[in-house]
Amino acid sequence: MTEERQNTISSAAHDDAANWYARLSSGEATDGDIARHMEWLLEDPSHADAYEQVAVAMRAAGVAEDAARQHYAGDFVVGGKPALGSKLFGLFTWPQAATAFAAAAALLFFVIMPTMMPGEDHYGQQRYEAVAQVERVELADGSIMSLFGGSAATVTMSEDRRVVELGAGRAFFDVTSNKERPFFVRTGTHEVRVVGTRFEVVRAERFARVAVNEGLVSVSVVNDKDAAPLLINPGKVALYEAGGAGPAITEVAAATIGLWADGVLTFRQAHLGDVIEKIAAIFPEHHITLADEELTDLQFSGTLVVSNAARMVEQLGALLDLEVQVTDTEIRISRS
Amino acid sequence: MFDWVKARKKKAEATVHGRSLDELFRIQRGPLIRFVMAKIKNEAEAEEIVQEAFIRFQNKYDPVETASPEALLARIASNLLIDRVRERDARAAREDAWGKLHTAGADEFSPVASVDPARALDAKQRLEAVMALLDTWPEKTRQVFLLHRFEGLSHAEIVARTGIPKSTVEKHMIRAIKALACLRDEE
Repeated sequence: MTEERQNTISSAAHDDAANWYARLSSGEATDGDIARHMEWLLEDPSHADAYEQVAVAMRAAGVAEDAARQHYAGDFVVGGKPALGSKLFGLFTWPQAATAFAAAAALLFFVIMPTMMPGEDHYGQQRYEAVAQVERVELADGSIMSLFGGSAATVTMSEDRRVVELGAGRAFFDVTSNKERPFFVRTGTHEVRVVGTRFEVVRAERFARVAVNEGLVSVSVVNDKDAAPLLINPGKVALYEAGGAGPAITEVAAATIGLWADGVLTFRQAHLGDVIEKIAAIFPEHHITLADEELTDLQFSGTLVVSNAARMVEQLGALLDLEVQVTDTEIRISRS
Repeated sequence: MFDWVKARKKKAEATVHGRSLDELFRIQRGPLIRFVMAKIKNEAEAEEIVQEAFIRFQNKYDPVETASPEALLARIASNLLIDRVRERDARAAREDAWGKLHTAGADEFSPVASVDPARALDAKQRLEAVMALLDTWPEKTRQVFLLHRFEGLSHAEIVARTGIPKSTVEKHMIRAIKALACLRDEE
């Protein structure tokens, strides 16, 4: 049957399928595009076949990811060779973008570039600080760093390594893979080494915490070179307490790690139970409770700015006209 | 005290084109109803068929395995419609374009594509074929494709990153998609 169906796909259907795939995956597909696409699929059985063939081919191309990243590493670098628009500025899209970003964020986000010199390619050192809210920045190698409000980090890019010193606070990383240039995050007491992955590091007064969303990282203790590094898988959270013996390992849903990295949580007709679940995933140390079970089904649509647990729940309470009580032990939501 | 965190079972929310399945259904309902109404001409029955298609789709859809959720939904809806038409008139259904392609057991959809060119190549062959293809592409086509496919950048983000004009990014993407979809034919 497959053969029979194959023969029915015209080259026009193939071309249309490729156009539709490009449109729908562009990041700008409108509701109208999606509706018209469905109309096109239903027009003729061969359209669904052609589209599926394109979608399968695009997905299957994923097998080449590692090889392509290694072979065409320059294509992934911001301001890298193939992207050269002009000789003068092509290589410096990063500091330009970072400066523009800093200017837009005005008082909330500072970028200092003490060692960035023309001619150093995209290597150099840069300090980032998120004052009041989550800040997201693309690093020179294309990796994304999200800094929680009140956090600061210094990023040093060199030929053989990428190093982030997390001065204080909480950061989530989406690291581009580059085996030749490992990526390190240092908290003072610990060093996290990574090849290409998504993970979160917290540096607090009394503890350090590392949680992995995707990939694999290894954590070593800075002052104990003999200790074997700890490998952390997705969904695992390693908590190192000051004075504690070893890390306490807990497990969570991997997708909830770094949920805060966009700076906002957006909900559309979500149940209050799900909304609270997401806030609690960001702040596992807080206990958020609902006065009665029926509240879980209350619907909420809106955007919450990621700040702290109490403020986020209060913001939610104000939007839904609910009462929020914050005590030392819990954040409690009840009907007004 | 009711502790909902423990009470709830976590379920990953599937999204297609940045939309939840509910939103997707809301958008696709119109075209599906019109498609069914063209054959059935009974609004209540059309609603019922489309609703049934959504339910079956949700049971079959696997975000990891399904390459094209839209194609899966279109096929389920089409086959449900044909079943319904056949119940009414077997002869008419045989002459139907969809009916010709409808086979017994078609409701037992695999979430994986039924037409799967990728299956013709094993992973190693595919890897080599994709790398060979990338090598033949113009530099910009390759970069646009790599940034889109492996960095997950939208077209607008590729424009910001590379300075390549948006209409050109689209052309490069379409060229790359067509070439990849034809991989098996070149073997």
